[in-house]
Amino acid sequence: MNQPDSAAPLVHDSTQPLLDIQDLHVRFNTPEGEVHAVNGMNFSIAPGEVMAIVGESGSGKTQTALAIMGLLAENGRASGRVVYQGSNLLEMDRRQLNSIRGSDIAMIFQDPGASLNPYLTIGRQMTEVLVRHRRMSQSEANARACEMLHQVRLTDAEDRMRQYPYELSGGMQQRIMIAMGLLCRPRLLIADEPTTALDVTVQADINQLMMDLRRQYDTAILLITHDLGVVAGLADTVTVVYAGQMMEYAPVRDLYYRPCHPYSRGLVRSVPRLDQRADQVLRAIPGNPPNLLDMPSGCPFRDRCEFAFSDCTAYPLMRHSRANSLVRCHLDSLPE
Amino acid sequence: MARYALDRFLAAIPTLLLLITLAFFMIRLAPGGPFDSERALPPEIEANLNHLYHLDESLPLQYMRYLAQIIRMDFGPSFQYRDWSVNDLIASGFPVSFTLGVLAMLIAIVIGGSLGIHAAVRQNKPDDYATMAVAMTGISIPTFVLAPLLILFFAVWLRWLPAGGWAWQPANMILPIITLAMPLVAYIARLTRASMIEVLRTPFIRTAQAKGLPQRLIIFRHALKPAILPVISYLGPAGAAVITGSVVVERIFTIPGLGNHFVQGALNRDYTLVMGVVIVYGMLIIVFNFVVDIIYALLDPRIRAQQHGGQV
Repeated sequence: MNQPDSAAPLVHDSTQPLLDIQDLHVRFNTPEGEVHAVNGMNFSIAPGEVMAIVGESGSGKTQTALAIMGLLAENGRASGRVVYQGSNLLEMDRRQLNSIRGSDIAMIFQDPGASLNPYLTIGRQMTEVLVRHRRMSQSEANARACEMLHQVRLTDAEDRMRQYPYELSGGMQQRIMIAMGLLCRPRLLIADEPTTALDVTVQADINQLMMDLRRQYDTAILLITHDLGVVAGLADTVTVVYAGQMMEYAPVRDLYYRPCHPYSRGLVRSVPRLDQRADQVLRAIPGNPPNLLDMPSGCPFRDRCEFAFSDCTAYPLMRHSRANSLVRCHLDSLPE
Repeated sequence: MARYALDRFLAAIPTLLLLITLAFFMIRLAPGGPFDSERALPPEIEANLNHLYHLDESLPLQYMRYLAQIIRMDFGPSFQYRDWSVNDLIASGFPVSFTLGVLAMLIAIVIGGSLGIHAAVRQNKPDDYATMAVAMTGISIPTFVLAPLLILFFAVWLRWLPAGGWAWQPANMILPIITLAMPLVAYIARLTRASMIEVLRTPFIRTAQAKGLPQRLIIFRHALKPAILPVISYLGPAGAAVITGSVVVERIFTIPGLGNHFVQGALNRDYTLVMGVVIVYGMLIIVFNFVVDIIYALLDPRIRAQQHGGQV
């Protein structure tokens, strides 16, 4: 592994990418050794695009997002380039990063209950973003935050401003997180499993809300999820990650109907469908992901891959499978 | 909140009663009596004295008599300082001890808290290790060792400050306050550091960072309240520690405070004085813990809701 990829970084349409990630690596120093959480991510997001990163737990999708935001844990190090408006976010000091975080790039998290400060009112937590980035007065910020709460379809916005997070339901808390993220009209919203901690009925509402707001604000979204069902309805493009590496990148329809990587197909087939017969067994992918402390050479997926053959002991490079798709696999086409 | 305060007040009554009972019988278990001295008094005089102070009655009767007296807020006459009632002694000693104690605690909170925050922000850097080493030393040195050392340095060698005595002047207060505050500073610094480090790892701090807030704002607006909560809970025991400390400190610096009265009273078997001071200490600790709970509620909205009888 760790060989540089030969495939050119993806350029979406003809426009300048909003965020361009080149050979991103994330390593953690732990008592057990160095954990290779993210190993050479290459992708870019166009303005207004919704891109999903899909992978199972521990595949490095959240660490990718945290690395972009400069929020890695103390023992984590990111290398490579995360280019936003011509400069590498990974090389910025905290002050420079703080002028972008929350303003140009916002992030919402998996567990809204834990991600809102329990000791501060909703109003305080929202307005401080505007006071900080937009230099608004407290009363201007109050008005704008209130307006934003209306837009995420919360009732009694004025009362909500005075409430504390524990007084609200999980769905309301996530609406507030979204409202807070969009206050400064960011160009990119990173949503890390925004609906995982919520009830199924609320999940659909939150997803719908994000899509409506995305149209209204023309915000690009980097959606991190393990739920391919969510991806189908929301994303334009999908990146499938495995063991911290990109396995496949494709427009969402292609990935669903014609996945090129055995792992992607395994993920797609493990999603329950409405047209499936009730007695049909869901297809799980056998085995476990490789140990990130001691990555095997060659294709990281080969031990679980039903099509593994002799070539798979060599690391597969990212190659074009179709005009606007990439895959990391030695197979030219996926057997049925 | 008024309802809550009333509940707490009523709950304090049995606590105080238990304290009074235990103290009453324990001081009488100690060998000797208030009028014993090197030279034995003539038996008639001693009998008269005992009769005057009702010491010739049975213990249960004395106990009931004392309770009836306490309800009227009358602590009785001192057995040793003949012209003084215990109320007078407490009235003269309390302001002195209270001033020292409150100042020591305030200083401990401010200095200990700041040191703890500083160490937490620089976790595992030289600043952190230095602060924690000092804190460890502070916790390890007992008051009765620290006080004579301070006197030796600042009073005897440098001659900057008086070695003891009391005149309501800052010069008299500095060394006693340092002695009282030192272990608290150390303890609070360690407590603040630990809880601040924990809070800085929570998801809501990560959210604050993702919002691009400056570090200073994150520490003081987002992290300080939750980080200070364990320190607030510690203030109850800290209040007790200051009281215990003051007993030693007031002796060493010859300060006419409650602690000094307490020690003198115990040595002289001055039953009423000891009882009076014990009751005042008990009430102080109860009031203190109540104040701590109020502060806690002010800081944590969820506890506030509970105290209003709301659901959380």
